[in-house]
Amino acid sequence: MKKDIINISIVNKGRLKIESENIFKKAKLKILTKSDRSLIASIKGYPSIRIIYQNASEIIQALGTGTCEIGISGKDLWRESEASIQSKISLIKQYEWGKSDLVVAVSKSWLDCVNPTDLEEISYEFFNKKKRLMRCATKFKNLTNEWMSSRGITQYDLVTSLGATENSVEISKADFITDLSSSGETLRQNNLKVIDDGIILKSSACLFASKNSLKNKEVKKILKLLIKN
Amino acid sequence: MKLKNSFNQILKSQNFKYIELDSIIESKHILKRSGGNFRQYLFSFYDQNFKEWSLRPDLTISSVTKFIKDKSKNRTKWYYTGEAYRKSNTRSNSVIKRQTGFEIYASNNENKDDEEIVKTSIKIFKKTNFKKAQLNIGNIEIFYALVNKLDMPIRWKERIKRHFSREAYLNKLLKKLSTNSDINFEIVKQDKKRAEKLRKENPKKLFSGRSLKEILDRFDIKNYSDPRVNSNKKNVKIIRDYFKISCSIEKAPVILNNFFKKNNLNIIISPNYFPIKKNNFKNVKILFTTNIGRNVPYYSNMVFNIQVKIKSKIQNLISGGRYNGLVKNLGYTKSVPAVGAAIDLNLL
Repeated sequence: MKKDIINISIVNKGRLKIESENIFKKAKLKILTKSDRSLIASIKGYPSIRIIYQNASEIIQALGTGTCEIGISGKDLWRESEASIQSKISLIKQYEWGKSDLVVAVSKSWLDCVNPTDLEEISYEFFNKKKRLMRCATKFKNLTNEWMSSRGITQYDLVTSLGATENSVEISKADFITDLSSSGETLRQNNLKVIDDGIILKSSACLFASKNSLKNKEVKKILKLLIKN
Repeated sequence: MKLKNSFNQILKSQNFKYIELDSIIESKHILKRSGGNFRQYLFSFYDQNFKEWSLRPDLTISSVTKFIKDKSKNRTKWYYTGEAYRKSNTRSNSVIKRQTGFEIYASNNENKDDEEIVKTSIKIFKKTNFKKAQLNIGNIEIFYALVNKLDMPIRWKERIKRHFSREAYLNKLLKKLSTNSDINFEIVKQDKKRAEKLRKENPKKLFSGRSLKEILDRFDIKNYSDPRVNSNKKNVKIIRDYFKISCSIEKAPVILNNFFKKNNLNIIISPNYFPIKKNNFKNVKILFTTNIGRNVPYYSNMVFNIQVKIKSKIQNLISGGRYNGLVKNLGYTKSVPAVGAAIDLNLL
């Protein structure tokens, strides 16, 4: 059955919302909302398009499960998503805004830890002397596992962090962290340093489309307008 | 089914006792052995006491935990058959691996038991419909001996030994070792200044789970007593050349001894070292190869596999080896030598 409505998901708050709406403005696509708090909108002159305001992670899920056709979200969230979701989404354009790096950071006082090879050796110090696995606090389990594996680090355990990951080391919740950092200031304020070769991913906002929807002419047309800006 | 029964008969006739293994295993045992990274391959869940369990990702680890539970001290020979469950990164790989495994714990004579496991594996292969096979035998102990004899910092020797089973990463490590590309001399200079300041503080003070003493001790070893000032290109070349050695089992002691002599390494391999000294088996080609057993982190000494051709693709029908450190690593009070092998029933 042919789907008539094209759903475009954008972030529901903050700077990402403003920047995403600017993309539409530049493409001369006027977003019409009933009120400031309304989370569903339409586009003037395009009755078949529906704008859905969502959480950035949910946008990736929606694209992967086919509940939306086009979305603007972070590259970090796309790369962190499960392989079954990731493979169903195409990255159409990477923007110059919403930039941040996913980094590996350790205590500044770990003078002997400057690169992944040090971290690997220290993980064995935890395993042999302290009889436990070294703990890493993160919101990005999949990307962290991938990075650790590629650097030969296996003796660690991940501790889920839902926010304020930077204080996990100070409050002894974890021994080191992986987290997003734009300027590095929050890390510095929390006595953390990024190790050499410690950038897991360079992220920024991206325009995505679900792979299935790329066959749809209307979707292609909208993407063409959005890509230009 | 018929084949499985005939395998079981061979194992029974050699006094291997059949055992049942638990289907689930406490996740911490697996993570202890394989590290947190392995979590991505586990089917895990929590019980009512918030203890994390996983469907067994391989049968050896279930067998070892059973051995530990039984508190057995004597030489134990057993076999088991069943399924292991592991998530895969590739879509085509099945998550269910069917295996029959057989093992000998608490060997009195390790060489003799190695020989028994390898010869039993050949007998099992002979019962299959495959006409030809290649038996590859290696020994990780030789690699460890080689690394120990090289002139390089101890921590680098340990690091290289630790990553024998991770081929891609070991190659990266060797590249770093030969070029010193991982040392940022500017950062070292700054950190040396900071270290002097920190020396005045209480050495027991903790920083992210590590005492200041531990941090400074490692810092000093790395930057003062163990610095890599010389290029290790020669050592890296020896390691890389070692991994190229592959020859008939009869010639292995001579070829290895020549290799060690050429590189001025005081290691001698006795002609009786390998579990099979001479190839008396029809339709089985037997090779000594340095480059096998590199995907299983717990092998410690002899390793082997029996390869067959299936639709022009080489597959490991039977793989095995010695894992002397695993029993203690999984929580037993003492080290127990163990050797075993597993038949990949998915290939039959």
